[in-house]
Amino acid sequence: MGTALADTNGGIARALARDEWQDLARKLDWRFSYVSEQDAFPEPISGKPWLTQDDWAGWDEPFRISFAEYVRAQSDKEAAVAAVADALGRAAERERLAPEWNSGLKLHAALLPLAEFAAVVGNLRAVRFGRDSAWRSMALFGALDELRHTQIPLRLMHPYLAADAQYDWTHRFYHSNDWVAIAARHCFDELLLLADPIEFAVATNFVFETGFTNLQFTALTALCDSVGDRLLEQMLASIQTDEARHAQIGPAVLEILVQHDRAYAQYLLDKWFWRSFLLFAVATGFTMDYLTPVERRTQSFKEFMHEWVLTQFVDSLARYGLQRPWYWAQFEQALDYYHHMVYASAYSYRASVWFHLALPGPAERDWLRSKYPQSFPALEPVWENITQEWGNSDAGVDLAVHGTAIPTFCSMCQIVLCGGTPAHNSVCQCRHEGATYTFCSEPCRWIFRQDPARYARHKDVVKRVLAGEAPGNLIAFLTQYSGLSFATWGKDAYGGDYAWLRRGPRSGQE
Amino acid sequence: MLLPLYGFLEGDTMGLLILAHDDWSMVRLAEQMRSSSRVRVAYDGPLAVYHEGRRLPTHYSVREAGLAALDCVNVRRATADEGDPASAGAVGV
Repeated sequence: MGTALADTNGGIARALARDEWQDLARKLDWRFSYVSEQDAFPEPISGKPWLTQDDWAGWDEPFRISFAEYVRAQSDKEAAVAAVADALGRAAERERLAPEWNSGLKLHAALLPLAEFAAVVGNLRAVRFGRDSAWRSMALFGALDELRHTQIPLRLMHPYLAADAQYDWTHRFYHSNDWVAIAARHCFDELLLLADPIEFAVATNFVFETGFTNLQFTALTALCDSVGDRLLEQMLASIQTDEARHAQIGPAVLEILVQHDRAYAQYLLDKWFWRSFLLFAVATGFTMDYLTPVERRTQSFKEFMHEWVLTQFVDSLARYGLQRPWYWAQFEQALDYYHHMVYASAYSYRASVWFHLALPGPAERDWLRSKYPQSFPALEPVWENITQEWGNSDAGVDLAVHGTAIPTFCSMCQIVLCGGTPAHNSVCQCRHEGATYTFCSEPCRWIFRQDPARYARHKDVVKRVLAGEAPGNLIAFLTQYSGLSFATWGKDAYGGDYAWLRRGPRSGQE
Repeated sequence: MLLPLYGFLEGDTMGLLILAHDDWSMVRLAEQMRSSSRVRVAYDGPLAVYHEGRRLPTHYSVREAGLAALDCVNVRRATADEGDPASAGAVGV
């Protein structure tokens, strides 16, 4: 129904209902007469396959929001975030939460905002070069969303800076050469800054957001509720509702893409599902299985992946006639091992990150054993050994229980070579134009081989050290290259001082 | 000459960069891996070095083994019945 309005002549006019006018406002494509369609939308920047305007004419998505509706909804959400920030945004509120939980916040707070800012650029490219006007309109809302997602964490974390310098990494992270930042930039530069609108829609909107972010925020919001972190809960819920809307660009593009080039759609899916998984395994896997107090955990990362990603997302592939990625067996194994391997490695190199990590104690290991019966027996000896090392050291002497050799990194994902299992690391290599490239896994090597020109010139951390571009000494690497300092680098979340940890006698003690 | 190698110790969760002298024996190389992974892996038994699925003889030097810069080596626990391909016996280090 339209709304009755007084017109300028004192009569009553009926405003059109949304559905009566919206297509006039969002489907604004016209026939070019001064330039060709190819010149207006060149393939290198608009994406492949290059299709005519008529091919894209059926593009549609379910939200069909108008600008006025968008502004009203966002204004309400901003008010809700501001209210929670005013009530709960003080450092003292955060300090009442478990230190490992706050570490999970620091991890997400650093990964999120400037990646979202890069997503503004990706969306804006689609605002100009997306092939349908409704798509371009939705991408504009997407760009505004991502700008908001940049600002919210920066705004919410800022009050914590005075009490904890690690929160500075909310903004600093992507400007650093910390190895996690190198890995995240490698992924997001391609995903958000380099991708053409078609790849962006499939990779970011469909795989990353529909497949992972949207669901991840749902899981994390539930965890926030369990832990009692109302501020983060509000932030994630506010962002997730935006993501759920603009993620719908992805299926709408994918639907037309598969009609014209199913093989390319499958390639983009296979490539970006793996790349997305590796990053989410680190961020979400760490948080769900290690950085949430054990009594507050609601489900394991693997259970979450099965319930939300495998069931819902992978089932959706069938709608487009797409297959599960070819590396499904490796992916299923990785659900059992990968983030545990990375976490144990990161714990033993915790000074190389900007947040603290917790040592799983007996209760945590019982939980991990119950949730990961297939893999935890192979990982438990690592934790037993680290515990033993702490037992031989004084609490607070963090670097006494820390790696000193240079870790190795994947030439594709740039994450530490933690693939496979403790018994059989899945490292593999290839040669390209006379150089050796080393990968954590077959999928990473496959991605490289599909487009080596895109990736070959990027130096991983090891190659930077060997080229003399980064120091080989660990402390120099952390302070001079990674941008960390003693105040900001990661330590054990409890200083190695756990009630359950038995310490041997120190010198001078009986 | 120093040779950068990617080393993977059985039982560990990550690969490490090993800067190996080309005259190091496989025993020395394995010992370096053991030492570098000590914070995560406690294993004092015999070890064997593998390259491209092939076990390298204990007495071989890095140079004799034909290892090149950025090669991957796996350092595995040597079982008692696992003979050294060039010199009989366990690879105790």
